[in-house]
Amino acid sequence: MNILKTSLKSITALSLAGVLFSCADAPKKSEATEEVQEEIVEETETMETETMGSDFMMPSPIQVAAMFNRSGLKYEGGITNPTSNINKYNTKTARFLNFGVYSADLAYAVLNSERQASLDYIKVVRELSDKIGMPGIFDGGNLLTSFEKNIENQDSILFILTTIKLRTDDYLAENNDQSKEAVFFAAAWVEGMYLGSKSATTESSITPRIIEQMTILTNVIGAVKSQNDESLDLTYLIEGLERIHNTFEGFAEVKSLENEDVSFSDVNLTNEEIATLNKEIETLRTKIING
Amino acid sequence: MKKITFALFSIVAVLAFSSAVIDASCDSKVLKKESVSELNPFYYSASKVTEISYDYKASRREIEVPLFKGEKYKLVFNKKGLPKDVIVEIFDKDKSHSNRDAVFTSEANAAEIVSYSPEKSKNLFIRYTIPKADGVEESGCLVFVLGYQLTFVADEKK
Repeated sequence: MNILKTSLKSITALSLAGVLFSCADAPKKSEATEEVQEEIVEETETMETETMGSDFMMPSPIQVAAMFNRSGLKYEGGITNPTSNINKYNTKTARFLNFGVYSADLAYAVLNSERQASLDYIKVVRELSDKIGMPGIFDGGNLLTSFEKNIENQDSILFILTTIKLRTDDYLAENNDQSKEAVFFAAAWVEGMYLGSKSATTESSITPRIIEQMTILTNVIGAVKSQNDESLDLTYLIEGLERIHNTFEGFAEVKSLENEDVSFSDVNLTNEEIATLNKEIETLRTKIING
Repeated sequence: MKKITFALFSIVAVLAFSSAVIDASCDSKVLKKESVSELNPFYYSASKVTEISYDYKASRREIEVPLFKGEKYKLVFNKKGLPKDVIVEIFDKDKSHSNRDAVFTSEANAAEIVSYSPEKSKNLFIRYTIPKADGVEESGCLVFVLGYQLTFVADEKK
């Protein structure tokens, strides 16, 4: 019993010492009051430097698809990534990237009220989420059932799509793996840009939207580079995105933009330049969907 | 026996006290869910949970948020996970512009959840100003959720 008493006293003393030690490390009020007047420490989480890339707030792929949709795109069923391709995706990298691709295809189908395609794509998105290790985002299948039941109700379908996005973000946050969001988004971005370029019509006003999307590419590349999972081979993705970026930056009118306050939406590209850009996008997209 | 009970009670009390002082409660999932409910009628786009550590000096952090032209957005900030207020300011230019003006500030707003909907959409730069610590090391989290208006082409025609 004496040993126990001694141990308890020691533990109590150590606990108190621990608290006192932590307090000793903490700033003293008088010191802090004096110093705050002199300096405010600045820390930037923008994508200006690659090391801080993962902190850039990625847009939603659903929103990108919605913007293209409102620009007057016509749905082209044959241009999305075939659902049968899922059998090709046997590597972790292929599964992560094509989770993003199929998410963009799903948004494209839903926003164009293509019900059968929507059902087909949500099934492959779910299958890949399971294989990636994120089964929770579909709530054990309940979300898929709800999607099927509400296929006629566009508001409900959109709500389910954004719920999938929210749960994916939650999953990544819970696993301290938020940098993976950039991988999903980059692949979805490539697919969205591909669909946008392929389904544009003469009446659509897609070109300004494509140019606007180019303005976030530097941030996307930085965010993909900042993720540190060595089991993912993202070299070709980064190189492909950089080629697209460099192609865009190389256009005469883009290079002439010395005044940084000029909006990229004011840029006019020639048909040849748009075709060159689209070719680079298509090349990268082909590599991604081939697994 | 009484001494043992007292010692055990002391340990529990000390550990509970130290935990309460050093770590503010921050259930980011719950806070995010609460913030998402504030987005209505906008749809969830993205979120960012920023861990806030109060240091011996006041500090600032900045987040860049891409917003696309012609789109409608709502930004919601949930400060319930903070032991001490953090000022949220929103700028339309990054910090390299010394003369930039804030288009929004939470400074005079005591609410724990604040929101902002820009009239025109362009990239925004959010600045958190974190006050200095008051004698003990403190931490918490600030949840930021972005919502956007999502419409079909058919909706626009109507």
